[in-house]
Amino acid sequence: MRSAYLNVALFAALLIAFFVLVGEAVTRISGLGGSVATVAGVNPEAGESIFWGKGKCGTCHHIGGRGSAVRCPDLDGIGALAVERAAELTAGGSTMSPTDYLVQSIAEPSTYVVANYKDEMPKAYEPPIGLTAEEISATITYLQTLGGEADAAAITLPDAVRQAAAAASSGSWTPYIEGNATVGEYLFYDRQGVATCVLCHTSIDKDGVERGGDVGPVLSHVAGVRTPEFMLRSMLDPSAEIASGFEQTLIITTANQYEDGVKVREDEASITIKRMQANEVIEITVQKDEIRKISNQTLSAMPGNYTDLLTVQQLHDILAYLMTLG
Amino acid sequence: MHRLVAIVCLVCVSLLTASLVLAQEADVSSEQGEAIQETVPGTAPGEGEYRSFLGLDSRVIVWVVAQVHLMFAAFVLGVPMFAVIVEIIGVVSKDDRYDHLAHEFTKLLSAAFSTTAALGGLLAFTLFGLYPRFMGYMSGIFHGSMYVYALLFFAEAFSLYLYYYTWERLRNRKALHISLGVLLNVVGTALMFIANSWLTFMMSPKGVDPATGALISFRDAFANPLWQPINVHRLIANVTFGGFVVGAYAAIRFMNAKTDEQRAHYDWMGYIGNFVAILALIPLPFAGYYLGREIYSVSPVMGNNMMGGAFSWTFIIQAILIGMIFVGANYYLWTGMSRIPGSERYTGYIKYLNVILLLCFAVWLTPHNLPLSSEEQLLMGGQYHPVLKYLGLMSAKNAAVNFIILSTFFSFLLYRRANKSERVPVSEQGRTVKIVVSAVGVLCMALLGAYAYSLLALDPTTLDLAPEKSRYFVLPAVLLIVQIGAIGACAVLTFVNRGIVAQAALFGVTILSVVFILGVYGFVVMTEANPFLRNIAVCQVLLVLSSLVFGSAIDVALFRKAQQVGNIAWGRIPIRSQYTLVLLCVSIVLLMGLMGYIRSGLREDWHVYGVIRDTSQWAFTPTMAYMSKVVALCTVIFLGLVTFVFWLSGLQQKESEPDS
Repeated sequence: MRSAYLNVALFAALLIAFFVLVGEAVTRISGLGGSVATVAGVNPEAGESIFWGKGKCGTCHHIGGRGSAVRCPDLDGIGALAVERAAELTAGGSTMSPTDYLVQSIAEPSTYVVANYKDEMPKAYEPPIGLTAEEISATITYLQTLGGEADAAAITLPDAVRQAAAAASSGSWTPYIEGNATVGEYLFYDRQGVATCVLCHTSIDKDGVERGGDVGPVLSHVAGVRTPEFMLRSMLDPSAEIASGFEQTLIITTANQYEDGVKVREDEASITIKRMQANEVIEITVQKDEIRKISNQTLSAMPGNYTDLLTVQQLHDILAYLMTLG
Repeated sequence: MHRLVAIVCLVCVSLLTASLVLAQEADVSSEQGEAIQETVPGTAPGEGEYRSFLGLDSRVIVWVVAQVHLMFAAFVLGVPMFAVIVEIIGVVSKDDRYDHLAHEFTKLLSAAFSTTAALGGLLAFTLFGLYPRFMGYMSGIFHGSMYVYALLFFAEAFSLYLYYYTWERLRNRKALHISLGVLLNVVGTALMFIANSWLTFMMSPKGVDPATGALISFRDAFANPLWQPINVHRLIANVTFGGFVVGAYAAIRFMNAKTDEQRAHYDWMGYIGNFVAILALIPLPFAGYYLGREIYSVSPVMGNNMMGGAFSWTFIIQAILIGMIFVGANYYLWTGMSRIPGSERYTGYIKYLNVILLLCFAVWLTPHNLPLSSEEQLLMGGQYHPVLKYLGLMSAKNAAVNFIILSTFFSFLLYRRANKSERVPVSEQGRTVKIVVSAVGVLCMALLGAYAYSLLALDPTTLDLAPEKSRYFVLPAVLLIVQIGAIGACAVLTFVNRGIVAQAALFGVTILSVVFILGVYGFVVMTEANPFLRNIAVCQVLLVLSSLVFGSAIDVALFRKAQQVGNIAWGRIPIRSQYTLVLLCVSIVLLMGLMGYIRSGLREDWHVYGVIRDTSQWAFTPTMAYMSKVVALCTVIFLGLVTFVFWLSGLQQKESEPDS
């Protein structure tokens, strides 16, 4: 009798062990569970990461040979196809650029539904996906590259999308005090002032002219892609999240010289970096055979002492100005 | 005694009524706006959102406790359903064996009930203790129904113990006793429905402001979109679960039996448990499809994540378990035929059934794509295998699962007729049989006709399809009409004593339509009119159901009053069949654990989907390996506890019946 119980217990244990083994095997086959590299910023790399990750676009769409979902259209060549779609929709009475079409397809997916597909695409900036405005823009730049060129500046997200995305991603954050955009613009462009943002960043001034440095990311349309909370955080703690392509690179030469800056170019023989020095942008090229060590830095090139340099009001004035750059 | 029964019944009914009144009041008060709040207490993020106990992973604690509680609850809710049915069969057939069997089922039930209740209490404490903010929100929405739940729990306890302890005293008043059993089922089902509304609200919240989570309508929150699909799915699944657990109990008792009489009893008990489980298992994929479809309707994000995203691989594991259950159940039937004189006439069919089952199982298991290296892709000629890629799509899987169901039903038909010899021609069986067969046939035809009409009248634009795509609706409608014709023709054949031919014809037509025509046509629809694919699946379900129902009606007519080659030799069955019953039990417990993970995991990092985000450190979606270990742990705990509880209940029997 006892052996019957034991046999049954062993048999049950074997079945349960088989189940655990299947779970292990499926994990190995499916490749799930590994850490996923996240890429920040508004660029195609970040967009690609969002498309196949947080945005869950890949659960419905495939892109050529990548992905297997067939519920929604193949997005291979959507960057080029967007030109045709925009022309088609423009002929229908509305004025639309290819990028506008891509924006619309994410912001208001029900407006144009591809023939033979169901109108079921969710708004990616609303829960449960809840992409931020920046993430939506990054995804659009990725789609632009599928048959075209990435152009972040051409992206203008509707206000409703930006507000919804900000609410979905960061709750109901609002600036702590009201800022003055005119004062903020003055502070931004004052080369001799306390902020001197213009030395590194390009933006659009009150005359509509785009000007400024290129050591930091272009901010001409920053309000379309970043939330106010993110912008303030970037001013207070610029190293918390560094825009893709603007990471600092440290080079130690064979002569024990230290050079750091943002990488501009790299070829087989040399690496060129640039940085601010005495309010001027300088470029430094180092031959590869002279490099002893090279590494990416986690510290942003942007100074991290704006809490000492600026008052709370000045910070909010600059924020108010940035929020006008949609 | 009768007065006592009446008093307890009155108490149960009063509790039930009070519960309904409370529910109504909660609904009315919310509709009047009294319960509408600008901010719901407990929804504001801050301190006290999450706690841990002894540094353990809070999610795993709640996961394990909830899952084991659900397993016990499924048993406690599933078994009374067939205990009452078996008792009724005993009364109608005047066969005391059925009455003893129902009594034994209920004895297991009463032993498991207190454990279920204790686990329920533990679950409530862990939830409120470890997830206070979330539970604050949930109780803010559902506190009215929580009181109702508690009151019904009293009613459940009273009616269960009354049903069990009055078995002997009400032996001569079976109608009253059966009524108690029915009351037990009504209360138990009501309890489950209430708990279901809480968990489905977490998946498909309605009646609340999506931005603030504030309650707008209790009725909408309670009867949220996934409530009914889960109710249907769980109701059927509980019966399957209870049947397989009882089957395993019988198997262990069989293996430890000392006399032929005991072996015969537990063999028969195992057969009944398995029979009930399989009967409920057959419609379960349809209920699962209904649930899955509604999940898609509620949230395409959740639906696509389920079938095409991170959770798609869980369905491969599900396919393995369901495949094991279907193959195991068929194998048990086939081994069981060895105790039936005359069964050797039909054993030749089993090898073909085996091939069909294994092929279908293989199709069900085939994933659409695999993460491949570039070298592997080069070897295979692309991301997808040129042939096998088709087997990974839903059309192929629908065809396979329907073929498995039809094959299992065929196995059961063989089992039923194994010891039958001389049949009484249907034409000589009187009017009642013809009326019943005709009525079942008309019902099936009406169902098929109604859906065929709805397909022909379907406006393609409602599916976001161009008007010319309506041509894709014609073939499924035609197949439904062909099935109507087949049912009519089979009825006529049955009445002219060609019932066997009628059954074969009906099976043939159904398999042709469901597996070979719609199975292939699904691929065409997938590319040309994708949104219509769901209707193809509904068509397949209706065709199979009509075939099962009308095929059963013909079978009953065919073998009514048929002579027997010999009596079934209960107890004379290979021991491996009893291990099959254990396999079925372990598989269904694992399956329930897996499905619990899928249902809960689909919310990803949301407590309440799209409303309350899970910001705890345990919000990540675990890997299949992690999941399988936790589900295995739940299974071990459940099987260990249930064995202990059954052992305890057996102690009393040993003391009173030393020879048993």
